[in-house]
Amino acid sequence: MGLFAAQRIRQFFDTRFQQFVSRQIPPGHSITLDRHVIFIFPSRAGLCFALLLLVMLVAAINYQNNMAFALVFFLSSLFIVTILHTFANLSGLSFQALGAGPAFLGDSVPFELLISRQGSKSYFDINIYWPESEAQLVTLMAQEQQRVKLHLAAPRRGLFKPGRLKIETFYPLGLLRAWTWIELDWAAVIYPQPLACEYSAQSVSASDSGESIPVPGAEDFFQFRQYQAGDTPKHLFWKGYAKGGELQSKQFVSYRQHSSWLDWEHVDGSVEVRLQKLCYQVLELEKSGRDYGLTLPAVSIAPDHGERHLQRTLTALAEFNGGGAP
Amino acid sequence: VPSAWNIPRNALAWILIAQVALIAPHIERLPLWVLAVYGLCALWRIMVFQGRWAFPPKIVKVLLSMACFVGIYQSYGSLIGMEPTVALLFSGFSLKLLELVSRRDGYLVIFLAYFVALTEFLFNQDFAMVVLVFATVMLVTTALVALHQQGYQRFDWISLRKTAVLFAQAVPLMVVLFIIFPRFEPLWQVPMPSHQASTGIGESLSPGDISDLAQSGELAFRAQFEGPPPARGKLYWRGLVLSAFDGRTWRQGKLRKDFLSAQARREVLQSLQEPIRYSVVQEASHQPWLFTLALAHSDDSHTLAVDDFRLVRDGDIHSRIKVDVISDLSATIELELESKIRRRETMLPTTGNPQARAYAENVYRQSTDDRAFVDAVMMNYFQQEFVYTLKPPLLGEHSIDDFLFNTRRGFCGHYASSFVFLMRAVGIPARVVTGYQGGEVNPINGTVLVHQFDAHAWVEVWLAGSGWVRFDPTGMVSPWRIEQGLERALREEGSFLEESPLSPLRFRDIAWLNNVRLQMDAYSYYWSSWVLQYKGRRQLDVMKALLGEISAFRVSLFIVGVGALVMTLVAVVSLAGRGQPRSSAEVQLYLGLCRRLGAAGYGRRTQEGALAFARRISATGARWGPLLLAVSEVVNRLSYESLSSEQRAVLLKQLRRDVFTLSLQLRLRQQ
Repeated sequence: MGLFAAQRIRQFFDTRFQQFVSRQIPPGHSITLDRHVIFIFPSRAGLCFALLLLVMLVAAINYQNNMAFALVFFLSSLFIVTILHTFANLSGLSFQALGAGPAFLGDSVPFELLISRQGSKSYFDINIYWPESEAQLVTLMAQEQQRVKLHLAAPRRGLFKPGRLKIETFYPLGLLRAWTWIELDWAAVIYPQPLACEYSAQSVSASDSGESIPVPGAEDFFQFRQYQAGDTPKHLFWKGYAKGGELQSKQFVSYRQHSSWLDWEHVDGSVEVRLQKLCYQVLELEKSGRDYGLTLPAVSIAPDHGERHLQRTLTALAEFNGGGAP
Repeated sequence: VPSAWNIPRNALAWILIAQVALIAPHIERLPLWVLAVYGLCALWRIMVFQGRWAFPPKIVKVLLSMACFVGIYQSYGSLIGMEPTVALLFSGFSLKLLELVSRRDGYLVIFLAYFVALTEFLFNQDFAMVVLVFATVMLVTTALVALHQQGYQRFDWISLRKTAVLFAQAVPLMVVLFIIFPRFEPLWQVPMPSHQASTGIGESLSPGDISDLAQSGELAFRAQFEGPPPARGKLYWRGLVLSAFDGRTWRQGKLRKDFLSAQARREVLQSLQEPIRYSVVQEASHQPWLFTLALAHSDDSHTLAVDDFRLVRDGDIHSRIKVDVISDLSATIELELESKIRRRETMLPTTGNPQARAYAENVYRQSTDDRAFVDAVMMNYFQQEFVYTLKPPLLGEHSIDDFLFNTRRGFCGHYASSFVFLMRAVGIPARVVTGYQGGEVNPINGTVLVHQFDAHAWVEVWLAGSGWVRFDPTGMVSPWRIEQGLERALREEGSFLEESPLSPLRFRDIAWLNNVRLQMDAYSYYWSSWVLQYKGRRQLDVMKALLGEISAFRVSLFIVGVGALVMTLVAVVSLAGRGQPRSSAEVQLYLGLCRRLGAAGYGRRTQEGALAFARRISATGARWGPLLLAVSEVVNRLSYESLSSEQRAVLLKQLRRDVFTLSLQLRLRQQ
């Protein structure tokens, strides 16, 4: 019961604090740290240090030793002065979102940001992390700015906005921790995780479209061509040569279908599984170089291929929201 | 949450340097093997860092820790006390190096180092030592800084420079705290340095004791008189009174000596007709004796008076202390002698030294009274061919006989001892007093410096109607000793500080060297009396002078005032160049103007350019429309055109004027 109450109280304060932080440090594309957003408090090491000072003070009193007093007072003043130095090690740093994602669900999502400073002062050991990510350590000495890449596991499909990013430092003495949470406006698109499956793409046949595009292949005979060095002996038109004609080689081609349509209705499974299967096929089709289009309940993307088309298609899959609403 | 952590290269280097600096002042009181263990652990840790060795297995660490405990117990005979504690701290220090894996371990080693730095002061608070320890603390702190330069890791001046800045900024607050923090009485009894040999006058006097001491040029104590110090020949610093003789050695005696009651101490104070005020700054002797001029009184709460009228401390003196004393050199001491004390001061062994006894009885028979007898015995030392020497021959079974009638070569102890024997042989109360005689006046601050070689033994004889009277038979043999000091008395023999050839006291003839020595001593005296002894009345005086009156309000005002001043300065220095980006002057002026326009109801839309905004306002027919257009054009030119600095200055001036005019028009309109 008591534990439960404690949890409730803690939760209450956590929520209140988060609200306070949100008001105090509004999200932005670029955020510069100053005294309004930096929090500072003794670290665990700092609390131990305070305890040590207390023990040393008792020793100084018991031994009536003025130099021991001096040492205790000196270390205490050092502690106090360090507050400003720890604070200064965050103050004036600017954080700018450079890019986020995309990534497939289950992979880690890259977030890139730029850290820069206003003046020429050095900054040491700035830790940048989300609670669920690995920390990146930044030191700015000679260089004015530094790009930092952080990785987060993507929790779900769609547009992913990470929580507040923690910026923290213990420099110079580790006795105090200065920290802040910043929210940059960035979002990563999380594609469905591809799931291997059979093709369901419906080809639009060559005859239908009235055109065929020859690509080098080995299926159908296409035409004769004058022999060129390097043509395989297998394809040489020996008969003609024997009849006294010129040496010619036979050319074979495959006919690429003009385009394929991927359709929501032609894959089976739950919503997520369908999306995963479609994702797999999109990737495979893009690899094969053919044009492909996508039909989802509310979205239709005309056939095309290339990097931008791929992204458009995958984003449509990522942002698919159940199919009910348009 | 920092992940896998490895100690930064520079942090490890600074930790090792700081540890070596910490060990240095403790070397004399640490067993050699503790140093060896440290060396081994340091080497091992370096090898681990370089990837050549692995961390030792747990069993090795456990065995090493146990070996250290046993070793310390063996070396000191105990685990309690200051020296064993220091040795334990150092062992922990060394062994922790072998476990220095996480950042937390780093903190532990460094915090331990701060504590070890404090222990150095418990043994020595000289100025040089204080400088050394604070320099060491700087190294320790540098290690702490380096521990947080994970992304830098270079072993160079950057870490040290950061520490130096922090140190400089921490000093003012430390001084304030030092001045105002009340010096409480000890909260509980703590172990004192127990394994240090006591120095100075010992508890007993055997032939040859004091001549050993005479080889030492160490400072025993200083005395600072309020007026000019008395003549050198009058400076008999009484330390111990020895009343029991066993045929060879004088001791304080088995008969209990009582401390004077508060009543008796008040009487002593009242009997001081011509008081001389002075303070004695006693060096650590690890004994309780204080050295004062007869007859002495002190108000100090830790000072006791013994019934033979000397002052002692209530515990052994392990660090320099200062005691304020009042003395009267001409006061009579104990006119009435209690029978118990008379018995104590006339006791002799029943047998031994027959020649001396016969001689004393013979002279006593020829003397008219006690006083005449004393004078006759004194004259005997003058008339016979006695020699004052640091190198007396060994004495036989009847030591007094052997000395008086055979060798006749001796140091002060021999003369005092034989003299008291002769007195007691005829029943006159007499006793040996040991302490120091003379001292060197430092012309720079008038302090009297008393060194170990000033150690001396003399005699007090009780005479009816005069009380205890001081006699110094050594003076009959070597008047130089009393008037000029030991160096002059031993000039012919050349044995002064023979065993310390480099002691600066041997070079007092060389003026500049002597001057340096005395100057250093004067500093040392100010250091100990103003800084080390800063407490009690002295602290109150300083605080009164500083604050006018001592009240909680003024004290807190003082702390907060100085604290705020220091923190503001530190903030200005350390936050310079670490603020928000500042926009250029023209943008600031323009944005200010926009704010005022907004307040007057002419808000600029988001994403609206300066010129577009101005045209929109002009179109409404506002009076200041044209001026706003002009301002916007100037702002645009300043922002986007490349201008020479003269052009910029002219345009800025124009902009300032226009913005001012426009703001004025706005304000007038509002009213």
